[in-house]
Amino acid sequence: MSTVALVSSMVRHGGRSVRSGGLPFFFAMLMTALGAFSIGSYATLLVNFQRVASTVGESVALVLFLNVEGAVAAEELRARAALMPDVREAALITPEQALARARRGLGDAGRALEGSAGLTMPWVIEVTPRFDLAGATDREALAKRLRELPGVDEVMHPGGEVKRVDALMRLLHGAGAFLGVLIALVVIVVVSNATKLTVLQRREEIAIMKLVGATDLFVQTPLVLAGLVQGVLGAALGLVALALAHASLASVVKVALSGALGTFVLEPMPPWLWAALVCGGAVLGVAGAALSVRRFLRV
Amino acid sequence: MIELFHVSLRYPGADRPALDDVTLEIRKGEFVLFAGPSGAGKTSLLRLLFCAETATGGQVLVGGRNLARLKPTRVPEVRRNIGVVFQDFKLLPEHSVLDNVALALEVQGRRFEEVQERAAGVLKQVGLGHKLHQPAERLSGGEQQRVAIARALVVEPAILLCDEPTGNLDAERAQGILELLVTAHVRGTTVVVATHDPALLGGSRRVVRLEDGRIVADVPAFAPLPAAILDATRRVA
Repeated sequence: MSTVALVSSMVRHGGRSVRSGGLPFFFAMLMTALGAFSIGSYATLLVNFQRVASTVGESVALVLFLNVEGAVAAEELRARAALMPDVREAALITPEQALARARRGLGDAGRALEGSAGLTMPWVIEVTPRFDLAGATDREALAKRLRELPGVDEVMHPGGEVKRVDALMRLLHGAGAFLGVLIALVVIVVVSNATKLTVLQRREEIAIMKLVGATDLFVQTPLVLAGLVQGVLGAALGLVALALAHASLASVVKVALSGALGTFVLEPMPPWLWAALVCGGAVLGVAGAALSVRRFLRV
Repeated sequence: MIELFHVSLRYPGADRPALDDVTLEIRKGEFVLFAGPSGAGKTSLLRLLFCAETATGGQVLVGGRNLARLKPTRVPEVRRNIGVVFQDFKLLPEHSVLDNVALALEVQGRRFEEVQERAAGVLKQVGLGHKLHQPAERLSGGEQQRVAIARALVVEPAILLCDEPTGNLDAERAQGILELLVTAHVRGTTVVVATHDPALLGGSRRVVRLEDGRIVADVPAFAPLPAAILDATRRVA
């Protein structure tokens, strides 16, 4: 007995299972495709929302008012702030620049500041926090650490917007995980039922195989292989549909959102996620088939 | 080769046993016929020998293995050394004739080329060399029976079990099937046939007659068949 020959026989029978799968096989493949398309669409949405959220998050800076005298001490504080792990950038604003900004900010009322001798503004540092992909930086904690720096008088941070963005991101992540699990369960049930139908369709053939000396492994492996093929083909089909949808929607979205959000490009999912979805389809296909084979193939 | 000691078999819910205290020995190279009316236990006895049933009592030894104590995982190993010809052929109807015969070799892990070559060779021997790629469902009853025999013989089994191999066939075709079985026997295969076909019983072969699950007669080969057995068999046929 040759193991290679045995495996190649099982693969041939697996191919036969795929070819004779008929409607149940096609339906299971379609469901897997739908699952991959749904998860992929959601992931694309999430990737692009995160990008927008990070832009929003990073545009909201923390403002440090200093009570130091001279540029050297202010620069030293800026350097210390810039070294903090959650800080992406720290920029020093001189008292003159701060005054000019205040005038601009006040508009017509700013004229009142002109000629006001003796009005001095403090040294200011603008801190841009990081906005990583896992969620918004904990700005409260960062503000607290910055406030503890010697020479920092006050820290202003508009945390409200960031908290809202952060909460939305968490909600999207949670909903994404729930959706993913739900779709995975549906795909497993559908694939499992499709395999059950295949097993029922082929029960006579399976019985004959067993009567001529086929082992359980010889009978089961082709069905599991068919599940694998169905899972991979289904996921690939769903992702091809996603790629086509992305290609056709990208230009529409660019035109619709570019005014509000600068130049907005609808980014696709990262490559690893495409590969992960194909692997996921394969795993679900195998899991569904194995589940059915174990439960319904008592031969 | 095959030994049965006080074997009984009772199907769940049945009011009487299918086999009752059957003791029998079949030596290597014998050609044995199980005769008897329908429900006598012929098919049940064959099913015990290829592990389709497990005896509810007694011991069944095939090639020294006690089938009553055989683990389910070892059953395929036993079946690969036994060729079985079923009354209803048990062919894969949509598969080609060649695929049907090749299946028995494929499950043994034989190389693809060897499988194709041997399967085609045996099919030529049974006179179906010109129908290798035809779906089995398109063959006549006699041809399907020959495919079933080819599938049983292609593994060169030590034991060939046949359940009513000539049932539903006309005399000419039945004679053809008998010749195939005799050829296998001459090559050294132990042949066990369950039948009520007088054409088979008429030869000089050992006949074990069953009634109500019990052996009522065991007539050795080359002994004249008692007229009572022949008459009883003809009545059933």
